[in-house]
This record gives sequence, C-alpha cells and structure tokens, in this order.
Amino acid sequence: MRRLARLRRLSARIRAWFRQTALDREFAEELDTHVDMLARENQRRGMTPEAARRDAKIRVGALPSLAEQHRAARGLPQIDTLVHDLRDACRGLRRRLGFTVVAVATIGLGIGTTTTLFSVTYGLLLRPLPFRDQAQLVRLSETREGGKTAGRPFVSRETFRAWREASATLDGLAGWNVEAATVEAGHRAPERVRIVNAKATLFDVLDVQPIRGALFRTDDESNGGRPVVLLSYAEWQRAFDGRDDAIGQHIRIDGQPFRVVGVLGERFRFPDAQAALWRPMDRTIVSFDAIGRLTPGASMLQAAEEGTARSRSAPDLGRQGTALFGSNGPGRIAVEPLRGDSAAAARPVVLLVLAAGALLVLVATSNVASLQLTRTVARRRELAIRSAIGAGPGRIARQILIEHGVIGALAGTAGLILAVWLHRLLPVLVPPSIVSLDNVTLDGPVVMFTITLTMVVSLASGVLPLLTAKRVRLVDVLLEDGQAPIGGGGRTQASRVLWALMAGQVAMAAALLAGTSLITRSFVAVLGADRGYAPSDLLTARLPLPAPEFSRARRVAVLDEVLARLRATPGVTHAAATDIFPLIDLEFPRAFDLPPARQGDLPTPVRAMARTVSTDYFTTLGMRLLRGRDFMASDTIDGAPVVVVNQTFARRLLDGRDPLGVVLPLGWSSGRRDWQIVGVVDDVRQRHASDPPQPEIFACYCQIREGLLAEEPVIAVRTVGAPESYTDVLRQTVRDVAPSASLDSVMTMSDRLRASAAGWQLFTTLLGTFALLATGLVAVGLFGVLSYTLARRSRELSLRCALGAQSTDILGIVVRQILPMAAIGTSVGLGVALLVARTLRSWLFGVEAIDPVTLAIVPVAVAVVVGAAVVGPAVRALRTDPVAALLGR
Amino acid sequence: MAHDKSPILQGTLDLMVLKTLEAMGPMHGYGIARRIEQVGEEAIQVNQGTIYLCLVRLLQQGWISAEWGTSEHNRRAKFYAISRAGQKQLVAETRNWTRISGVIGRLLHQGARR
Repeated sequence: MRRLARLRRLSARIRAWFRQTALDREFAEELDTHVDMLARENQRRGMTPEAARRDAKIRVGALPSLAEQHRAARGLPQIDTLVHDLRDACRGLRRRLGFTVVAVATIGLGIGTTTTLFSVTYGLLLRPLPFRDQAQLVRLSETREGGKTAGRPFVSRETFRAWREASATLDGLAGWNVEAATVEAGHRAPERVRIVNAKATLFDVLDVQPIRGALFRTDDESNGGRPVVLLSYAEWQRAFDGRDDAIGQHIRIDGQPFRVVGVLGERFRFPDAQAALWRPMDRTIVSFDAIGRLTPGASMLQAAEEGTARSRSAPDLGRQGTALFGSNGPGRIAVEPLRGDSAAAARPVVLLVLAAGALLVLVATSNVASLQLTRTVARRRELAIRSAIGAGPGRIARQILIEHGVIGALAGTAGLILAVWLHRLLPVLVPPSIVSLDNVTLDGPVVMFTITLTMVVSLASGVLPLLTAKRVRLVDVLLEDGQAPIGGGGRTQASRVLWALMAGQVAMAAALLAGTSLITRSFVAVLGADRGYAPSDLLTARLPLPAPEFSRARRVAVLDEVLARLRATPGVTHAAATDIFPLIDLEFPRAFDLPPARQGDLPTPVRAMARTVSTDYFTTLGMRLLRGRDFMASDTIDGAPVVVVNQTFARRLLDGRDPLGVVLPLGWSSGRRDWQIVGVVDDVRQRHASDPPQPEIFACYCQIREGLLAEEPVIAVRTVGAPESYTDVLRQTVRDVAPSASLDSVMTMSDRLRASAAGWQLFTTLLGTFALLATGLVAVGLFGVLSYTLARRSRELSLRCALGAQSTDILGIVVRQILPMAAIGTSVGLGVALLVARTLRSWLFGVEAIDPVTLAIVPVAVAVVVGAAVVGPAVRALRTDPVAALLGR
Repeated sequence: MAHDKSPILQGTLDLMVLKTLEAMGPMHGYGIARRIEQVGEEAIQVNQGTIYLCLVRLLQQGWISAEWGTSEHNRRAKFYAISRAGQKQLVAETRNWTRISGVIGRLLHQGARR
C-alpha cells in the first residue's frame, strides 16, 4: 500500500518533470492571480494601489525562487541538478577545448585499442564454445616416457580402442584428423578445402545433430563402409545454394565419389571454421586428435589416470610407437579442457599483448589525470570561491566527477568507434593462418567491458583531482598569490602526485619501448637467420597429383617432364621436386634399426626424418654439401640405392663413425634394404629458425621402384632474380605436361619465410604501435604539465632574470625539474621490462634478455621524447619579458 | 515581522490545508491562505507562496484534486478540492494530532506544576 503510494508519487513527479514549461506557466499565472487578489484586499483596507500591490508581492514571495521550489517539489530536482551540472561541465569543457580534445583522444585511444585487444582475448580464450556442457569436453593427448613432448596433442589408435570400451570417466571418446583435398561439389569449380576425417562418435560427444539428412555411422569407418560425407553449412550454401536436394547427391573428393548424407548447422565449427566436409575416418589411420566428454562427477585428473592405465594395457605399438612418440616407453595420457588449438598457441602472445594494452590505458589514464590535476590546481580559486558562496564539498566533488563522466562518455564513444574500425583492420593485421578470428566479434560482453573500462578510467582520472580539491582551504587559496607562486618543486601534495604520475608514465613508456626493442631485434634475427638454404630467388609451389588419376609411377613421369622443361627455360638455373619441403609440410619420422658399427653388436633402433627428392634438390635450395656427393644421373632405378644424410644425422646417430659408406636398412623400395650413405649436407631448419635440427635422410625418388608415394609433391625453381615473375611459366609448364593437374600455393620462398614469421611480425607491429602511442602520450602529457608549471613560475623566473640569472641558469632549473623524474622513470621501466623478458626468454630469438642495444636505445629514445616535450615550454619561459611578467601583465 | 506571530510548525500546514478544504469546499490558493490566517486570528504567519508547495505535495499524494475555474473577480484561478483519500487522511491525521497535542499538553502541564 505504502509502496503503491510512493510509486504514484514518483509517476506524478515524472509526469510533472516532462511538463515542466507548461506547469511553470500555470504556476506563474496562479501566483499572479494570488497577488492580484491580495492587492485588491489590501486596497479595500485602504492602501494606495501601488502600496497594496507592493505589499502583496512581498507577502507572496519572489516568483523565481518560488517557481524553483515549486519545480523541486513537484518534479525531479535530482535530475534538474544533474542536467544543470552536465550543462555546466559541457560549457567548461568547451571553454577548455584543447584540454578536452587531448583528454578525449588520449582516453579514447586507450579504450579503443584495449577493447579490440579484449575482444580478441575474449574470443580466443574466454568465450564458451557452442557445445552443450562445454566444461565436460576435454582434449586428450598421449605421450610416451622417454619420448618427445607432444607438439600437437594426439592419441594412438590402440590407446583409443583400449579406452573406448566401458570407460568410467568418459561418456564418449571421439577422434578426427584434418587434411586438404580437392573437392568438386555441386556447381562449384574444383577447389582445395579442408576436410575432416572423423570418428562417427565425434557428433555424439559434441552432441550435435544435422540440420538436414543424417550423420554417418561407426560402421561407415570400415573398409566396406559407405563413401558418405557431411557438409558444413557454408559449403552447403556455396555448392548447393542451400537446397534440400543436396542430400543424396555425390561430390568428388580427390576424384573419388562421396554421397552427401547430411548438413551440419551454421554454428557448428569443428575443429575450426575452415572445416568444410566431414567423412568417416579410415580405420587404418594410426593416430589422430581426440576428445572426450567427462561423465558427470569425473575430474580431468581421474580421466587422465584411467587413460594412462588403458594406454598401458593397449597392444604394444613396437616401432610405430617410436615413430609416433619418439619412444615406445609406457604411455601417459594428459587431459585438458577443450579449446581451439590456435587459442592454445596464441595464449601467451595474446596475454602479453593485452598486458601491453593495459599499460597503454594506464599511461592514458595517468596522463589525463595529471593534466586534470594541473587544471584543478589552477582552478583552486574558482573552487574556493564556489565553496565560499555555499557549494558543499559534495557538490564540488560531484561537479568534477561529472566533468570526468562527460570526458569518459565522449572517450568511450570515440574508443568504440576506433574499436569498430580496428576490427575491420584485424584480418589484415592478424593473418588467419596464425590465429583464427571466427570467435572475435564486438558484442555484448565486449561492449560491457568497454563501458566498465570507460567508467573505471574516467573515475580514476577524476579521483586524483578530487583528492586535491577536497583539500582546498578557502582562506589559504584566496590569500595566496594565485598568479605567481614562488618555487615549484615537490612542495605541495598536488605537485608530488604530479611528479609521481609523470615518472610512472615515463616508466611505462620505457617498458613498452624495451619490449618492442627486444621483439623487433628477435624478429630481424628470425628473418635473417641462416636456415641452411638460400630463400632468395626461389619460387615454390605444391603440385597435387592425387590417386587414382595419377599413379605413383605417373607422378614420377609428370614431375620429371615438368622439371626437364623448367630447367630448359631461360632464367631458370635449377629446378627440383620433393615430397616434404621446409615451411610447407610437417613430417613424421621414420623408425628403423641402425646396423652396429662393429660386427657382433646389436643394432640400435633410431628415428629420422626421411624424404624423397629429385636430382638437383640441394643445389636448387642452395643447401651446403659438406661431404661426399649429390645424387647423380647415374643413380637410376637399377643402380645401387644411395642416400644423403644431414649433419645432425651423422653427428647424433653415427657417433663419430665415418658416415660415407654406412648402409641403412630402409624399407623404401621393394626388395631393397641396403641404402648406402654417399653424402652429408648441412642442416636445414624445417619450420622455425629456432627449431633444433632433426636427423634427416634424403633419397632420390628415381631409385624407388613404387614411384612417388606423396600425392602432393612440392616443386622448387631457382631463378635469376625476380622469382615471382616465373609464376606464369611454371603454371604453363604444368598445364602443358598434365592438363588435369593444377598448382597450389605458388609462393616465393622469401614470402613463405615472411608468412612463417607473421606471428613475430604481428607481435612486433602491435607492441611497436603501443610503445609509439604510449611515448607520444607521455610527450603530450609532459608538454602540458611543463607548460603549465613553467607558466605559473614565470614571475619567479623573471625575478631570477632580473637578479642576473642567465638563460643557462633558467634552463638548469627546468632540467633539474625534469631530469630526476625521467631518469627514475626510465630505470624503473627498463628494470621491469628486463625482468619480464627474462621470464619470457623463450620468446626471444638471437638476443639476450639483458640486451646491451636495448639498454642503450631506450634511455636515448626517452631522452629524445622528453627533450622534445621540454623544448617548447622551456623556450617560452626563456622568452618571457621579465618586466612584463614582474608587472603582472 | 510582528513578534506575536509564530511560524507554522513543521508538517502542520498540510493538515491545516486539508481541514480548510474539508470545511469550506473547493477553494483557490489565495482563499486557503486567507482562511488559515483568519482562523488563526492573525496569530500565525503564513508565507503565502509556500501554500502552493504544500498544495503540490497534497496533489501528488492524491489527497486533493485541482481544476481551473473562474474567481469571484472573474479571473482564471485554480480551485482545489479534498478527495475521498484526503478525507480519510484528514481523519487519521486529526486523531494523531489530538493524541500528540494531548500528550504534549499533559507533559508541559506536569512540568509547570513542579
């Protein structure tokens, strides 16, 4: 009842507030009538008309004040005050346009970049995956004792089978692997797309249903299983325009027909957004990615224990185990929450960049806070007078907070606009090959973050000025010579806070600069590192020759013909082909028994990367032949089988034996197990410049009776300059030799190198941008604060001049004010950056955490920036006309 | 200001206005102010403007209603009338006031006797 009454009063107030003008007019009329009547009454009692009217007006009260009270009584006075304060704040901000623009731009910049960074972080690391009870989904990975740690998590087929039956901790297990294939579907031209070979249980574990048709079944995985396929929503739209009759149609995957049985939902993306097709996984695949769904109540630890036990009870993998895991020791299963792989890989980078973004926001906030602080000190008189005429401390605090609220709102809007713009730019900045941006959008949670950040920032930049504002003592301020205080050092609370703020900003900028320097130097080192081959003047492309159209023998014939024609092309110095190429392929090692050095010893089981190449491969890539010989024309299919090994093979596996002449029992070509080492080449870094080299064996495919096993060999062409200009020649040659084959991924080796370092590049660009922005902000902030403090001290400085101080003395005063702050800030920033760098040493390449160049560059850069910020105000201070300043003009 | 006029006790103006409207029927602001002064025999001083703040409060509580009409001098004026809820409120307030003033009166009397 009482609440109802209150509600009614509130609604009456709101209605009245909206009818403000009309009600004001009514009230004025009502009062007018009142005065009229009272005057009439007075007149009746014998007053003169003038006196009667005057007395009536006095007894009723002044209209403006009454109208104000009336408005407050009937309407929403809180809002009226707020509107009033807002209008006041806007007027004030417009008057100090320079400050407003700088503050809004500074905070907006910080908010915009941080929002973008947050949306990336949120999308990659925090946003829940679109699957039911996502917390129960876990990723499984298997390792073996004594083996290498898994780069990409996977499990062996045997462990999977042993665990699948009657698991106590998992409700279901599923596996998949991803490959690229040429797909002809519907009316679309053949295209290479990403297809997923999946266990049928994948869809049960993820708990998804097709939106059209049906899923495939476990028995489809067997040899006699149906050749069926599921389409992604995007693929369904592209190839079949989303028509229902797509179900039952056939598409070709590498020439083989597959029947479409179902279409998955638009939001289904597994393992990533590029996945276009899912088909039953062949049971012969021995290792694959795996996930499971925890039974309710089971922990990841329990699942890992069970998995480890099951893996140890699985059939022995023998040599295959060594090939897969680097050792055939007892298995161990790790269980982790399911997350995108790119997310896991990107995690440290994203977090570090986010930290850099946070530093930028901090710099921006403290920058505005210090600008505001100088302003507030300047406004002490205004605030003192305001409180003298009756504004309570609350009212003054509110006014300052509202000003910051307005700045914050403007900056937040600017930041959001910047973020939208940056989002359009993201795909350019972040190559999708490194980080998948599917989940990165500006939506509810991200905007909430922005709003919160804006509020925090505007509050934070408002609080410092507030603390000094509260300390205003009227008499002190009014007595103080507001125009020109003498002395400027760390005397007052405000100037001490200001000093700390500026030093902090310098520290943050220095830290960012140091980080950028370290990363940039690493990036340059990565690009310039010796990888064991010469990347310049090298054109590379993949030439898919899929079975059954191309038999293994036919592939050799096509490659030989293409290479022969290319070698005859003017401007081409060398041409070669291989099955596995640096920066393109991941390879799997081959395990075999190395014959003993002495008669009677046991053979050693070893593993090495094995690859088949054409003749002229080493010269084409510019690899260094250290010993023995290259493959020759005489190494034919009937000749003695020969191999070339790399230096790591010779060093690590042959134990100081002379590698030349050692015979390796490789089961490469039917009937031959006696491959003799005839040469040693220098190591090549397969992927990253920092990768440790692996033992490698090269054989010429011209000596392999079965022909070329690989369906997608890579062709490399060394040219005389401008390798990209040979693209058309390369394409034409392939078209002439094999019209149905088409090249894929034609790129110069230098471009591949740059693409492989794109993560570094992105990181360098981002950190560099932040460092630049932060440094710029610090310069602007310093400039503002210095201009202000020096202007305030102009009378003191003039006095000094008048007493005989030289320009150098004045400059000395300025420098003494700045130097300690800059020096302390730089030292702290450098120290923090180097500490962080030490813990993140693995991120650096070719540069130490304590890098002398960085230690030298950062202070110089800070000095330049601080110097640039000081010059203007200092010159102005020097130019001040002493007489004018002393006279107070 | 005359020293024999006492300011109105906080919160009592509402009660006076309600009672006036109940006793006199619909009236405009001037009439209400006039009536209170007459009844108070000029002993209490009404700041005539503040009557209107009180009227706004009562309107928002729904205890009185207002409509425009024409005054005895043929001027447009707003006439206020007590509502059913206002009458109920008046009864309650009157009882309350009587009780409190009784208590205060007894208290003061007792103090005087000592």
